[in-house]
Amino acid sequence: MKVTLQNLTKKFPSRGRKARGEVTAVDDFSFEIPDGKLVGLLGPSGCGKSTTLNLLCGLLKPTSGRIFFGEDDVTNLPAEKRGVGMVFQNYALYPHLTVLQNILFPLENLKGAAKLSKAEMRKRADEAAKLVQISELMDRRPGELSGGQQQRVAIARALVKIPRILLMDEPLSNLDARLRLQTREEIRRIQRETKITTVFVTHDQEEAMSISDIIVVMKEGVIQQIGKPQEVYDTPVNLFVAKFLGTPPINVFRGSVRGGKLWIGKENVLDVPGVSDREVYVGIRPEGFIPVQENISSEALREKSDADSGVFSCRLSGVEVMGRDISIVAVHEASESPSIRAIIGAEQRVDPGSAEVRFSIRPDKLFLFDRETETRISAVSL
Amino acid sequence: MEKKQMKGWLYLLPAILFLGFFLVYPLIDVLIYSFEEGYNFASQTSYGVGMYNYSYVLHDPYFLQALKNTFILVVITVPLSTAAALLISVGLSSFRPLRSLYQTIYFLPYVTNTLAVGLVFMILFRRTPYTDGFVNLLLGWFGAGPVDFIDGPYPAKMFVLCLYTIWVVMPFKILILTSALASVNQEYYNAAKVDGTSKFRIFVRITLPMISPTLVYLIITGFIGAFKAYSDAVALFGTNLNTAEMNTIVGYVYDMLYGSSGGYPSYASAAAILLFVIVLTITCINLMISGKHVHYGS
Repeated sequence: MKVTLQNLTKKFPSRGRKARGEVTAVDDFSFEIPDGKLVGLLGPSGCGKSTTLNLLCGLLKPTSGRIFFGEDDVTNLPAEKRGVGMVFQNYALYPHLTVLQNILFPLENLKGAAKLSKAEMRKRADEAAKLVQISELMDRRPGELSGGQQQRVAIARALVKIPRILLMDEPLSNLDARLRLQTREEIRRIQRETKITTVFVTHDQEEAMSISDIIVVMKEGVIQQIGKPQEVYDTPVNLFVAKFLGTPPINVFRGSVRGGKLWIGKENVLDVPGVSDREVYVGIRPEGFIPVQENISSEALREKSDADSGVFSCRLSGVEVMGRDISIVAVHEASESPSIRAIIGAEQRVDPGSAEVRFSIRPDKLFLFDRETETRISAVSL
Repeated sequence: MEKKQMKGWLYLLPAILFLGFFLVYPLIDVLIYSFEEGYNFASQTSYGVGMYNYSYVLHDPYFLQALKNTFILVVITVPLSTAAALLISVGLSSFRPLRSLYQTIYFLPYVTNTLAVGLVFMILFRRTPYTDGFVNLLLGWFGAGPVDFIDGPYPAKMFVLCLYTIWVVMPFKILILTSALASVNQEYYNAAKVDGTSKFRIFVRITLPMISPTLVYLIITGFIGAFKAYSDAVALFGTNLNTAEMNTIVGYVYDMLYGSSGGYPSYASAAAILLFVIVLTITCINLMISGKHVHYGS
């Protein structure tokens, strides 16, 4: 089922007597979710992602704009008639009912032509339970289950009525780190098997990146960027998106472009032909730093200095060995944050005792943002 | 270990002393009184020990009348007041504007003196040589003849007593039930709504089970309270309840002790023990039935 949002806006009256006016939680959303895709709504808390989800499931009414499921306009349809499945953040499993009764609950609501016989209901419930692998827990009560198991029951309950779309509100936030990793694979698998268009909300960029077909990055009620996770990561439209995606986060420096050359501090880091002279923010992904080996540096440096670009030196403050790779913590006076972090392969050597570390920068991991508007500047070579 | 135990007993001492003195000792004393035949207050002597007091009480028409009154009162007021309170609290919690005003209004009877409420009821229901009372005025508009609710036929008097009791006990139940309803997590309702559950089914399958512990509490305390009714009857019908045929078991106990025909602690004790046995039995049955259906959380 394709889902279309058209100029969707939701305003809440502000709380308190003194405060006047409204708070816009969702501001003029327009996008289309293709059939059968897994979409992650991503943003910091308070960005309107849960509001969007509630608008989709019908628990909230939009101030303006329209929502379509396929060709049906569901904007004014109440939640109970939309046929959506929802997995709530705290699962909202009915504590007085067994797992089976919980899963049967949505089926027992069906009326008229859609009404099912007892045997059919049981069959559907068993299928849903099998899909999420909780068949052996049917007679337990939610209080007797672990967080992960409760999560599965909640998913089974949402899926059992074969919803037109499946919505999940922070599905992994109540699970511990190990279970989170496992469950997100599980969600991906279930979504692939059922092919139900799924929208989930998260503030964890790693979670969104890892399982979504499409991510929607939001900030303060406004969509920043929509796209495939890798695309958004590789071509962020603005500084916010660049900062929000990626762990460790991108390193941001104040820099300037003069005559097609990018300067950070006193160093010419990179040639950026075609970019007009201006003040910029420079974002460099942690994996975009290539350390310049000191023993070969004399040769390489001369070459580099001939080209008059490509060297970036920082004061080294620490080296963290993590097995698979090495994390270099350094300090630079032009950096926006107190320290910068570079990730390099474990086979490369960095002397932890040296005072300075020099890098060359991978152009595809470096982004320029306008200092005023914070939108990305594309250059020919970038 | 010894010392620790001593300390524990020391902490318990005040409670044990108070409970023992004012609860356990009187209870045992009443039990003993109830078996002592022909007990005399003045000489503090009795003829012997036996079941005569019980036999007397159970054959006393006044006691049987009081027993009947009490049972009617319990059977009518407990279910009705609980159901009405539930209805009102559900209404209150789904009705936002002026909610606190309504809550205050519904709670007013609870803080009002029983006798004052009784007086108001008298004004509403009583016939005097000068007026038939407000309720009879209303009845007259519908063509029904004046009924004497206070000194008239038994069903009319019972009706007023039940109405009065319900009116007095409801505020507390509403208060407890509204807070129980408010404590049900909104997410359950959202989940049910998204799953297309009808309002009625949400109420029966989610709301009721969620507040069932509170309901059971209210029903049990309601039963106990109704069995112990006395002041309500006095407020409406005065102290001479036996002649008004409106006595209750507690009223009978009181009359046996201090009433104009009183001075019989043995009979009073026997009646009190009978009441105790009845209340205990009903409470046990209540708990047994509810134990199977009540969800006390995980």
